[in-house]
Amino acid sequence: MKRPTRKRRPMYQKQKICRFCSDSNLQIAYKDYSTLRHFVTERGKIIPRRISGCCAKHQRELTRAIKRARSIAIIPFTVSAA
Amino acid sequence: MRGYELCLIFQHETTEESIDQKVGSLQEKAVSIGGEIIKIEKWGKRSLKYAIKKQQKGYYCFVSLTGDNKTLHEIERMFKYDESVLRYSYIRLEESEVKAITEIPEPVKAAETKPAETKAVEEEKTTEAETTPEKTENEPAAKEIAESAEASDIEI
Repeated sequence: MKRPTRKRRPMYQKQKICRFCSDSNLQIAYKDYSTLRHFVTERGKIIPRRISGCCAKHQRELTRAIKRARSIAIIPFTVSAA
Repeated sequence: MRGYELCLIFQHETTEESIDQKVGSLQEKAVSIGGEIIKIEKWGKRSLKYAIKKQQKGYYCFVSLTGDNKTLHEIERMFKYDESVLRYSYIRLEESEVKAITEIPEPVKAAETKPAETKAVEEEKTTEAETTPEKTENEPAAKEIAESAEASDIEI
């Protein structure tokens, strides 16, 4: 039996651009809370590349920076619900 | 010689003097082994994002230095059993990062031969550190308030 073919809904998505590639002044540093906090959810999770739009290289640098910042209590590991 | 960045979080009750003393003794040891302290960066008192040893606040101090594994052993020995140090961690710097630190403050490097002048420079740094933390403490607090406001909006 043939599987009923489902029409694929066309996906419209804006092309995401890596922030760090487009702006060379933006640096990834583990001490810099103000930039890192944009790449962490309210619960303290690292935002995936698919959503943040970072390129692979910068996402790698970001995760490293975030994990370092967590170890010295600049960024929380988790944020429990209030 | 490799470059490292050492992060020290002291208990917030520790006085500036004792911190200076500890950093000074670290400097002495590093120099005696053959390393060098490139940069001292004091953030002052900040709230920790999670409690370390039941403390919610800490005094942040970053020290950039060059050295080898002996220096790191020495650091470990100094701070591992020191109760006033909540957390210490060191991170290896890339060579380009070390260069960026050492090349910009040329006058400081020239003054290193005269110990009296370096002290003056350090004092200047401390005064800067004293004035800046107030700003840095207030800013994140304001942001947190803004964030929590956003969060509460979403929950509603």
